[in-house]
Amino acid sequence: MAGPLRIVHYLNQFFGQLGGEEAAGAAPQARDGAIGPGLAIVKLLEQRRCESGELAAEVVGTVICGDNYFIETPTAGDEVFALIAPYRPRLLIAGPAFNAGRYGIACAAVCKMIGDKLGIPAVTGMHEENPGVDMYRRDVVIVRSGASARAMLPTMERMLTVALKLVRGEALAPARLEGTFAQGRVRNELAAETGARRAVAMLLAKLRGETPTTELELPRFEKVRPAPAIVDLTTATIALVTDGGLVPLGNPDGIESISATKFGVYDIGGAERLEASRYESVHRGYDVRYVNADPQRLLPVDVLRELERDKRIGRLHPRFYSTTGVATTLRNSRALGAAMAERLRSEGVQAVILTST
Amino acid sequence: MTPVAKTVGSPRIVPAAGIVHPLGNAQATPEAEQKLRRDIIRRALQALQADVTESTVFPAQS
Amino acid sequence: MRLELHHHQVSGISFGEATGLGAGMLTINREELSALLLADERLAAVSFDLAAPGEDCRIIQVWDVVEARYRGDGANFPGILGPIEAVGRGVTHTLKGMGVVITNPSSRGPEAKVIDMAGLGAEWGLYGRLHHLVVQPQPAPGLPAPELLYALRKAQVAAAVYLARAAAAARADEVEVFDLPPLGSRPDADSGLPRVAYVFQIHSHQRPTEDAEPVLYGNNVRNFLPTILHPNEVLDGALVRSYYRKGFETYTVQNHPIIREMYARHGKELEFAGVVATVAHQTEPERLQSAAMAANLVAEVLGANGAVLTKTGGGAPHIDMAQIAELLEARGVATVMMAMDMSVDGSAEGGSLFSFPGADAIVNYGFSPSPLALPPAARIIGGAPETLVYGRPASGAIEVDLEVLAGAENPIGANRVMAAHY
Repeated sequence: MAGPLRIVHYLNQFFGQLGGEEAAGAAPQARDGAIGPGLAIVKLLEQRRCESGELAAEVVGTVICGDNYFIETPTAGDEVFALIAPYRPRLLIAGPAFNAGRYGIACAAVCKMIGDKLGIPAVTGMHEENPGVDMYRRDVVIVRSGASARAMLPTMERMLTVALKLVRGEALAPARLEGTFAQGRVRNELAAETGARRAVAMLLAKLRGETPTTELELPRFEKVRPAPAIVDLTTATIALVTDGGLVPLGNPDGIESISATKFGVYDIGGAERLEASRYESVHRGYDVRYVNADPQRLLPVDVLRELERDKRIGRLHPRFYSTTGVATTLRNSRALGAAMAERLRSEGVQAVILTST
Repeated sequence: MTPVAKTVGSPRIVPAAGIVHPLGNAQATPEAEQKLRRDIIRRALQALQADVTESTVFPAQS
Repeated sequence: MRLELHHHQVSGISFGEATGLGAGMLTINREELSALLLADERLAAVSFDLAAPGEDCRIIQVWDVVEARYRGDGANFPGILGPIEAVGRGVTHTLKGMGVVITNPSSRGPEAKVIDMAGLGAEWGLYGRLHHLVVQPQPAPGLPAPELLYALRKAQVAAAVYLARAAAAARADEVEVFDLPPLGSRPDADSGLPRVAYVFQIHSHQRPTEDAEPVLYGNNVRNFLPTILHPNEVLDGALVRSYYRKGFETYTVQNHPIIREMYARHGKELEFAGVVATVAHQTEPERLQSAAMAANLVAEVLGANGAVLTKTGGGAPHIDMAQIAELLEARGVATVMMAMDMSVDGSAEGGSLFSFPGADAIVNYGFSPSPLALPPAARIIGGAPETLVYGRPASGAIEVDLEVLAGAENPIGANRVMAAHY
């Protein structure tokens, strides 16, 4: 490689020293060299060069854009790109944005754009609650940071470590070791120690007051807004939906017995009950013998028919919806749910009883 | 399972009779099983008629 | 309670005249063992094969693996083989370096586990490093499935005891002592060491047990309420794997890695308070009862400051485990859970079914649906070379889910396999 590694740094109005919230509408602008947090990059690069002979690198330019401008202006991305490209960078660093939501989204969007268009490594950093994480973690290397700018130096240090690995073409370590947000690739590996040894060591660390390095991130689910109550059940069409895997014998739609990607819609006409001779469950996550012996144990068609006859409900929808809920990805679950809801609504269904195993 | 339904934020949750037969009980007589099923569905209908603002459990005998 | 495991190292197995162990070589009289096992009329026939570590060999249709054990005059595998009597005290002889594998000819799909004696499968499974006697029973015609499973369980432990008994007269190569006095008579309550308990989910009723399915002292653990066990009972044959395909092999219960780890650190880094056994339930009331009682036993009876919790089975039992951990964390008892990674698509958000404050320390034991490609094997035990394993002939290259390679996905932490997220 000829000459030092050329780095461009992306900042918002605040860290780019244009001003606070009042300058959030500032249009993109470029400055040669490093500004603000960019000085930390310069300092850390210098340290690394002294200590370990790290390759020579310099921050050749800083591109600054107001957060509101970036979010609200459709052409903002193109404008930022037009300022970055002429510097002929081989690495882009954006932020870190900590817990600043608009800034985080802008940093990640700029990283994705630069990665896509210039094919160079692009790294940003933010706090786990920054919305930029969920929006971009699959596409962009995002280093974990604290919530506030007090963590600037250690965050920048980790961002540089990751960025320089990418520049050298090295593989990154698993996300929890690298301090990044996982990008959605998972694979089994052999750890150095057995699970038992890791568990007891983790417990002792926790008892000493240390922060344990969990091997499994816990999910954060979005809030679901409940639909309004049904005012008059006696006129409502109610459908039965299940994730218990009930399908006509032979599984005509090939619903997967685990990790489903589709659901089936099955006509029950005016049947009084679901006959065991005609249905089966293909779910692989529970013992299906009981449901196969009497499908009403999963889909209570018999009881809903009673309620229909007694005029307690308007009618039972003549089709049931079914999939298997076992090791189904959240992404697929959301997609299946949305598709089911849309179709149920188009078929005139007002309410659903979803039975789950 | 109620805790999973709560974790993911299901709006109206009716605890049922178990994983392998949510609307039944293989150990019970057919009559008792039918009654169990009616009770659970009755609670489901109550839940559908209730205005809720967040994930809400409608426990047995409510 | 003091348990001495007298280990007899086995470095080779052959069939021969008289069953016995000499200079590390185990000789097995096939006819005698066959006659012993066929005394059970549920079995029509039984055949045996041997497998050695490093051999270009694949064992298929594997149902369970057990370590050969003999308790002298005491009850062996009480409730299955021997009379009901508490185990975990006295001298127990073990054949180290070997396993007794039992195959089930009627297993299909993921129920039929695989052991590879060489290559990647040996490295990732737990059992390729051991010598094995592979016991292959054939059921009597028309035998109902639960009867067959019971017969397999009985045959397996009977063979294990038969073999270890033959070595009992010999001098042990190594004696390992597991000595944990009753809580009330521990010498120093102010050791300053954290008191640590282990919460052991021994079965998941997402697959209900059969009426005669032996799990704990022969009990089918239905309507099971949390109970305190001495760790030695677990190590000494009180507990075997249930019939549910997803879980641990009996071999890893007898060599329980968490109990061994806690023993190894006992008196140095921690005070091992004891084991609380639980099961995962199907119904909400049972789950709540179990969680309340288990947490109470750990916090208020054992007086633990910290606990490791494990689960077995599929996804649902994570909830049973997590509910106990949540109650413990709320009482200030530090917890570490061991869970299967559920993130089928690799997204962190799909990794788990539960989430609560304090659930910040989870060890994962792998990611099940990840396919494992295993190379061809020259010799097949437990079936024919053309027997299908996940749709492919057993002797060729096969691709199986992680859980199908015996021991690869071990929920009590015996293995090193873990899911790494990138």
